[in-house]
Amino acid sequence: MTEIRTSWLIAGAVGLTLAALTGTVAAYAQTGGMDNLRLVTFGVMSLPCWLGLVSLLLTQDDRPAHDEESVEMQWITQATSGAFLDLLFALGIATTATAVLGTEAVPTVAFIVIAMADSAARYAILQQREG
Amino acid sequence: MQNGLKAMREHAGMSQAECADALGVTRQTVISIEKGHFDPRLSLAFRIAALFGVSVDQVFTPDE
Repeated sequence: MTEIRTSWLIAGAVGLTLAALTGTVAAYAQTGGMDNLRLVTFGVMSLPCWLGLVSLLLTQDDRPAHDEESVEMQWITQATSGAFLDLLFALGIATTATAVLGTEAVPTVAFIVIAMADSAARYAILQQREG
Repeated sequence: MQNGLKAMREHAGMSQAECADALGVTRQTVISIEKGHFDPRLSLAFRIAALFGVSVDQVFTPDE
C-alpha cells in the first residue's frame, strides 16, 4: 500500500513537472514569450497524459512474468486491431466525401479521437463479455 | 475448448491469485480460462499442466 502511494506521489511530482514544461514550451513556441493562459491550458490538458505515462513506467516491474500471455493482452490486441480497421474505413469515407463534396479535410484530431474511443469501447465490451 | 483448471486448482488448495502468480499471468487470465472464455497459448497450457503435474490433454479437452 505504501509502495503504491509512493509510486503515485512520484508520478504526481514528475507528471506536474512535465506538464508545466509542456505548458511553458507551448507558451513560448506559440507566442515567443510567456503566455499564462497557454501555459495553464497546455499544462492542465497534458497533466493526465503525463501522470498515466509516468505511473505506467513506475509499475512496469509489478507485471506478471508472462504478462504477454495474459487475457488482457489478447483483449488489447483484438480491440486495437478492430479499431484500426474501423479507422481505415473512417479515413476512406472521409477522404472520399471531402473529395466529392470539395469541402475542407477532416482534422486529424477527429480520427485520433475515433480510434481511441473505438479501442476503449471494444476493450470494455471484451472485458464484459469474456471477463 | 474445455478445461479442468478450476477442479485441479481447488483440489490443490490454491486460490486464483496464487495460481496466477505461479503461472506468471494475471488473476483475470485464470478466471477467464476457468470460465472457458479464453484458450491459452500452448506455452501457458504446458505451464498449467506442469503446475499440477499432469499432461496438457488431462487439463484441456477439445469440444466435441
